[in-house]
Order: sequence, then C-alpha cells, then structure tokens
Amino acid sequence: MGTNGNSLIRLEGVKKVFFTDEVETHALAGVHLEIRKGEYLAIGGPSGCGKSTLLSILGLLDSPTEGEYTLNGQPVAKLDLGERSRIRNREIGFVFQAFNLIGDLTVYENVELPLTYRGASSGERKKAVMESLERVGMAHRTKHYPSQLSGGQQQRVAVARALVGRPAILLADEPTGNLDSRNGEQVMELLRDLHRNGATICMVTHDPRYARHADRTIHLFDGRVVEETVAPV
Amino acid sequence: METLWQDVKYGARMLLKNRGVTIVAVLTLALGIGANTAMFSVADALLFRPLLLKDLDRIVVVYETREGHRNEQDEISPADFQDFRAQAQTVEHLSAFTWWSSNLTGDGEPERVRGCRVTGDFFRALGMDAALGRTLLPDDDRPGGQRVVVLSHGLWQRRYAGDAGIVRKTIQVNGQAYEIAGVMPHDFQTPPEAELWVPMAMDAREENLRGSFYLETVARIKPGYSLAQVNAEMSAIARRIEQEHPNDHNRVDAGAALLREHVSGELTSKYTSMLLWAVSFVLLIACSNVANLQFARVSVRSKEIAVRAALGAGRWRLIRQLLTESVLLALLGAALGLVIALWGVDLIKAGMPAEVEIHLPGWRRMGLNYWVLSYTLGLAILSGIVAGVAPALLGSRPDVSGGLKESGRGSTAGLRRHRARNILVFTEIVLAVVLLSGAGIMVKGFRAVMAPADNVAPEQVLTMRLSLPESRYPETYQMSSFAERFLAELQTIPGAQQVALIRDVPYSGGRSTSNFYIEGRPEPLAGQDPVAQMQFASENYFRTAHIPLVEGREFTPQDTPTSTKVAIVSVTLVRRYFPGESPIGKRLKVGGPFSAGEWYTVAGVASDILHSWTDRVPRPVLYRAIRQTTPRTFQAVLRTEGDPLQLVPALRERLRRVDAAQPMFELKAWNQVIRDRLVGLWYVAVLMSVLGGIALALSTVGVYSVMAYAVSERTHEIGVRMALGAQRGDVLRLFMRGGMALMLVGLVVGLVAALALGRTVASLVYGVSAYDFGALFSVSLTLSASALLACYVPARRASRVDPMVALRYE
Repeated sequence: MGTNGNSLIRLEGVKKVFFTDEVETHALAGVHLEIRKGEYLAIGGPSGCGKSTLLSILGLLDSPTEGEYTLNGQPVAKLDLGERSRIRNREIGFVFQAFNLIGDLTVYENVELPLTYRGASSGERKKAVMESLERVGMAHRTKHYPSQLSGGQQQRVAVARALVGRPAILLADEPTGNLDSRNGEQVMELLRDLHRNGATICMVTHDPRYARHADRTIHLFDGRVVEETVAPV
Repeated sequence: METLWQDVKYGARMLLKNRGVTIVAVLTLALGIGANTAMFSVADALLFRPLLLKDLDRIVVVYETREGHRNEQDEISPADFQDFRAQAQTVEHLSAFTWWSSNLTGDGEPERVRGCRVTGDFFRALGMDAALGRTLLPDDDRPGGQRVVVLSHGLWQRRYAGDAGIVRKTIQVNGQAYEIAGVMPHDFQTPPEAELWVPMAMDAREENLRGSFYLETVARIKPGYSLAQVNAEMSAIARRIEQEHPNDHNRVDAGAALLREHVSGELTSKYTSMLLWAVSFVLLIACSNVANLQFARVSVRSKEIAVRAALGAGRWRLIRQLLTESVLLALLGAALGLVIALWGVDLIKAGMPAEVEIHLPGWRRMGLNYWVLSYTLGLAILSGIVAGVAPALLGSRPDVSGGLKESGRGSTAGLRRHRARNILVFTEIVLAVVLLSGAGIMVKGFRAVMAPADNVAPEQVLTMRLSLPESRYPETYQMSSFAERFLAELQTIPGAQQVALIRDVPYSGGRSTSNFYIEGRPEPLAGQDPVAQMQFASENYFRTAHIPLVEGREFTPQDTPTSTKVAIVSVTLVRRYFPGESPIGKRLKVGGPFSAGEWYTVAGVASDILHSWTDRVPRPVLYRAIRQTTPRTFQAVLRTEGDPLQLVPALRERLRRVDAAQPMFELKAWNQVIRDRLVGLWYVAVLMSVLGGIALALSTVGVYSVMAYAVSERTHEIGVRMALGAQRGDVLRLFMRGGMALMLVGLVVGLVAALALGRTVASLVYGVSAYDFGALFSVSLTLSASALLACYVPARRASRVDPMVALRYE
C-alpha cells in the first residue's frame, strides 16, 4: 500500500487478540490500512469478521495488541487512556448504530458534550452547537429530549454531535442499522453531503447499497482485509 | 466552574429521575449525618467549647498531684498558691477559687446556692467583664475589706427578678450583708455550678496553710509560651516547694491543664469520644449502603458513561460527574439530617435533670450553631465522596467499545462491581457487630452498676442536704447541737420508720478522703499513709441505709461530744489495714502520727457499700459519730414504706422548728439521687443502643440490597439454570448460601474486632468484662436472624422466577 502526504490514518500490521480464560480470539490478524484526508471509506464484511473491532481501534476506543497506528502523523497505538481521550475528543467524531444519545440530556446538551469535555467557552459552544444542528437540520429541536425524536432525527442529532468538534474523521458504525429505509437513506444522504464538503468518513456497513456511496470499500474476513474496491471516479 | 455547574445540573436531574433510589439514599445519609451532627453538637458543647471564654485555649488550671495518684488533678494549698503565683513566669493572672456554700436569706425563702471565694485576678484570668456593674478586682481581695458579691445571671433573674438597679444594693449571704458589685453575663459558667462570687480575702493564717489542699486555680498562658512550657515550670516550682517543706507536704508534682479539658472531666471526654466513634461507624455503614445504591446506578448507566468516554471525557471528568451526584445526595441527606439532629438534640437535652445539667458546662447551649453547621457541611461533602468514590472509580472505567454496542454488557466491570459491593456489605456487617457489641456491653454495664443499689431499696428513702453557715454556726458545739435537735425532730415525723444523718449517702458520688494513723503502728513512709473515705453518721444510719453491721455495735445517742470518741470501719478498711485481726477497741486518728487530731476507738465493723458508681471495688470507709463530730454539710435520710416524697412537708416543718433561716437542698428520693449520678452512663447506654439499632437496620438493608441486586442481575442465569432442571429449592439455596457466607465472614471478623475494642469499651464501664461472651452471642444471634431475613426475601423471589420470562430478559 502506497503512502502520500495526504494520509490521515495509517495502520500497519495491526492485530487484536482477545484473551478470555484459556481461549485466544484473533479479532484482527494483521491489518494494513491507510485513509486519506477527505476520503469516504466503507468497511464491509460478514458478522464477526472484525469490522467493529477495527472501528474501535480507529476510534481509539481500544488499542491494538500489535502493530502501528498513526493518526495525523502521530503514533497513537500506545498512548495512555487520558491522551487517547483527548485525541478522541479533538480528532474523531462517532456515529453509532444505536445513536447513543444520552436520554437525560436535551438535543442541545447532547451536541454540546464534546465541546464541554474540551473546555470550550459557553459562547464558543453555543455557536458551534447551533451551526452543527443547522447542518443536520435539527436546530429547531434544541430543547427536545432524545425520546421525543424519531429514530432518523436521533441519528441526525448524533451526526451533529460527531461534527460539532470539527474532527479530522467521522467514524460511523452501521449508522442506518436501526433506521427504516427512508430514514436510513436520509442519513446516508447527510453523510454524502458532509463528504462533498470535505469531511473524512469511515463507515462500517454490511449493506452494499450504502457501501456504494463510499470512494473505497474494504472487505474484512477473519480479521484480514481480503478485498478492496475503489469506486469509479 | 462552569462545567462543574453543568455536572451539578445533570446530577440533580438524575436524582429527580430516580426518585425512589434517591429517597432511600437521602434517608440513609440523613440518619448517618443527623446522628453525627447531634453528637457533634454534644461534643462541641461539652468538650470543644464548654465555656464561652475568650482565648479558651490559653486558659489553664494549675494542679498538684500525689504519689500514686499522678493522673488526678488535685487542689493546691493556700501557701503553695502564694509560691506558684510569686514564681510562675509562663502564666499571668494566676488566681485561685474555692467553693463557698452560701445561704441567701432576708429577701424571701432561705435558699442555698453554690458560691465561690475567688482571688482578685479571677475574672481577669478568664477575660470576663460583668454584664451589669463590675466584677471583683484585686482591691476587693484583702482581709477586712468591704463585703462585695458578684451574682450569676441565673441567680439575678431567679431570685431578684432581673432587677436592673440591683448594683450596690445589699443582700444577706450566710447571715452577713454583702454589697452587689455586679451581675455576670448569661453565658458565664465558671466554675460551672457557681451562682455567686465573693473575694477570697485570705488572712495571714490562711495564706500560710501548707497542708490543706482546697484551692482550685485559673491562669492565662503568657504570649509566646506553650502549655508544655507551663507544665514544666509548674513541675519545677512543685519540686522546690517539696524540698523546702518536706514534712507538711504530701504533694509531689504539679502541672497545668487546659481549663476546657479540666471542666469537661475525664469521663465526659471519654464517653463523648466513644459516642463520636460510634456515630462515625453509623455514618460509614450509611455511606456503604449509599455506595451500593450508587453501584447499581452506575451499572444501569454504563452505556451512558461509555458514550461520554467515547466523546472524549477523561477518567477524572467521569469520576467528577459521578462524585458530584453523590455529593448532591449527601447534601440533601445533610439538610434532612439537620432536622433529625435538631430533634435528637432536643431529645437529649430533655432527658437531663436540671440538677445534673448545671454540672455540665455548655449543656444548656447545646444545639445547632455556626460550628455545628460548618461541621455538617464538611461531613456531607466527605460522606458524598466516601459513598461515591468506589462506584465512581469503577464506573469511570467502562468497557467503551463493548458498552456502545446494542446489547453490550461489560462482564469484567460487572464482576468488579459485584466484588466491591460484597466488600461494602462485609464492612457494614463488621461495623454493625462492633457497634452492637459496644452497645450490649454498655447496657449490661449500666445494669451491673444499678444492681447493687437495688439491694438497699433506695426508692423508700428520702434524702436532703444541709449546709450550716459559718456565720451562724461558727463553733463545733453549735453544729453538734443543731444535729442533735434536728435528729430529735426528724424522729417525730409520722410515717418515717427510720431516720438518720450521714455526711454523704452511698452512690451519691460525694466523698471526702483523708489519711489516718493507727495507734501503735510505725510511722508510715511518705505517701503510704492509710487512706479512707471520711463519713459522719448518726445512730440508726446503718439500719436506715440497709448496711449490715458484721462486728461490734452501731452508733448510739450516748455517743456525745463529751463521751469517748468512737468510729465504725468498713470491711474493706479492716481487710486492708487490720489483716488477720479484729479492729474493735483499736484507736486511730485522722491525719498523720503527729497530727493534733483526737483518738477514735473502733466500736464496730460495717459491711461494704459503694459510694460512687465509678468505684470498681469498695473503698475503705471510716465512719465517725455525727453527734461527736458534726461536719458543716451533711444529709438526712428517712426510710418509709410508701412514697418518700410524702414526707417532704413534715420534713420542712421540722427543719423550720430547729432553724427557720436554714435552707435545705438536694431534696429527693435516694433512688433519684442514684439515677441522677448515673444519668451520664444511662445516656451513653441509650445512645449506644439507638446507634446499634440504626447500624443493625442499615446493615440489614445493605445485605438485602446486595442480594436483591444480585437476583436482578442474574435473572437470565436463573432462567438458564431452571431450564436445565434446577428446582426452586436449588435456586433458593444458591442465593441463601452466597448471602449467608458473606454475613458469616463479616460476623466472625466483626466479633474479633469487637473483642479487640471491647477492652476499650469495658474500661469505660463498670461491672462488665471486655470478653462478655453473653453480649457477643446475643449480637451474633440478632445479626444472623436479620441477615437471614434479608437474604431470604430476594432468594425467594429468585426461586419464583418464570424461566420463560427470564430467558427473554436481557
């Protein structure tokens, strides 16, 4: 795999082994991967192939057992928990299948959360939150609680939350998995729109319809990248 | 600060959302914090600030000690006081005071009040001014000077109706006219029971008394000196005095103690400290319970915490969020705890007899004040942190990638939490065992102390005290004559089966001790003189008090001032000083071999009886015939078959016949005298029992909550087990075994700790052993029964789980 100066993420020989009692489970078995700035990458593969583990490592939610991980030119595989939290907060935006909005916070407060952890001032937070909510078309629902929103609306709020800190990359784990096809399509359109405006996106999906939106798709099987498809320009 | 406010807002929202859990947690913490606040109010009033004096921690008392009694802070003699005052460089305004029994007459009913003779610097040493008029000054303190008196606020209000123009008016004290110099402020209570103060005005004879030790002192530490330096200096002065006066001085050392600690007294200090420990145990148990609830809350919120972590919240930020919620809970608990404390303090104050509370400086001021509120606030924050720290530490380490999945269950975190919850319940059980054992020992101790008093049927005896003023009874024959006439009048009271006079009734705590010399014995070595409690009794006393004579005879009316002086000694005195021989016919005198005292011939031997509940064993007692030697202060005892208080009108009438101006005081049934003396111990026993009860209830709730949570967490597992063929009994046993094993381990460790701490508790109680296995067995049984119930209810629920429902449960 070649490299260029536009590289945002680079994985080299990343392995992840889970140890449970006497059983070793090799979730990732030497993954090499590069994601360029502004790229839209889809990760596909059957259930249990290691997609979510790979996304967790990319999102610094987990660390590799072996191998190198470079984010924005900085090695991040062996950082301590605090440092990982800090980078996660500034460089990575998450969109989850189950939305993972906090039920006891309003839409505004949910979106504000990453900026709060960053220590941003109240003024900065307000401006960024409103911008982000407007971007996903949810600015009129700031005082609502997640339970008062439809699934599609919740996912749009989750996208707003992922975007609010202007991260280097957006990681989306089956973002349409809990949505009906109409809402799923709207969310995918939103991601496409974000990508068109320069966002780097890495999305896990097993739905080939949505994978087609990506610039490039990699397929995992038994913890390895077994296929790579580049969309025609 | 802004983010902290966000945490507070969110925390409050979470508490409101889970109202049931919040109410349980707040009530639990309110009990713990309320009990601590109430007990701190007691400690604040009795120990930390018993007297409201400026720079209380700079005011000291100077005392002397005797060989073999180095822990006791004894009074000093006037001549020693002069030496200390002349030589001391580390203190200023060293002044002395002594009790002065004062009868007020001339303006209403005769009344006996406790007064003090004080040297001129007394009020300056305490840094106090009068509220009305002036205090006593050095110029007042000279023999033959004008008689002036300073009144306490209470006496001024009670007897003189708060007369604003009372200064310079004259009142009759002990039959002599005294001009009122001033009235002290309401909160001045030094020494605690004093109601008036007159100048000491020592003449040359009194100033030179070296062997009579009756002066108490106060002084102010000079700036730049420490208490240790004052102590060292007083010790050095005492050694010089001893070298200069080796013959008439049996004090061997001197020291200084803070007035604050001196007035609180050793027992008050020890009991209050013990209760402070006990309430802190209760609070720890309450915190453990709340920590358990917080664990459950954290467990439910593991996904939310994982989301926060994924969005970049660092561990400290998560801990802070969780701790904020816990501290909020504790602050709510503290608010409710203050109400409980207010009620508790009122209850504590209400149970204290007025005659006893005057001996406890600070008691009346006890309540919620700035110090107590600050303590409660600090305690609330600390409790919130203690209750929240373990759940926050474990909850802030979520399995982020697992937790974010649709059905993510952090099994490792769950195990850690389960272990932590078990440790908390184990701790609760250990603390509850220790507390309950302490309470058991205190209650048994109280009963043990009360038991011997029951043998003398004190509920059928009326007691009262008289104090004959020197101004009207200056000579001993006048006092003897009073005693004779009064005794004759008492015998005419209808319904009084037996009457007698005695210096101090048993169990009353009153005691005057002196050394004595047995005729024909070698001169005792310094500090090894025979010592006994000095009693003065009339005929019939031993019969009235139900003290059997074991040898010889009782006092009789024929034991008059002109007949041979006789004495009766106690069995313990005989055992100690007449081993293997009969004391009957032997002669002894009060003081040393060369004292000018008269010889007393031993006429009888009386059984032992305790004179104070703090006596672990009976002490030697030397009784002298009150008709032959009449003390200035003594008591009358009247035994009847009915209610002894029915004799009061007749008693007043008989006293009026003898001396209409003579007041009587401490008029009460003997059993009331005993109860008043034991009221402190009774308080401690009751409070310990209440705290033990709270500990038992909280620890039972703790066991229950852990078991109930374990059942809810393992519902799926129960379903699987039942699907595989487990019977209800199997499931019941599974949970009962787990719960009872936890309880048994806690019980064993708790009993070991209780035995180790039992020695400390038993040293504060009389009549019980540190290894009171009966009490420990009762505690074990009570705790086991309550834990069994706490385990059974959730275990039974587990055994009734529908496997079909359980297998769908995730």
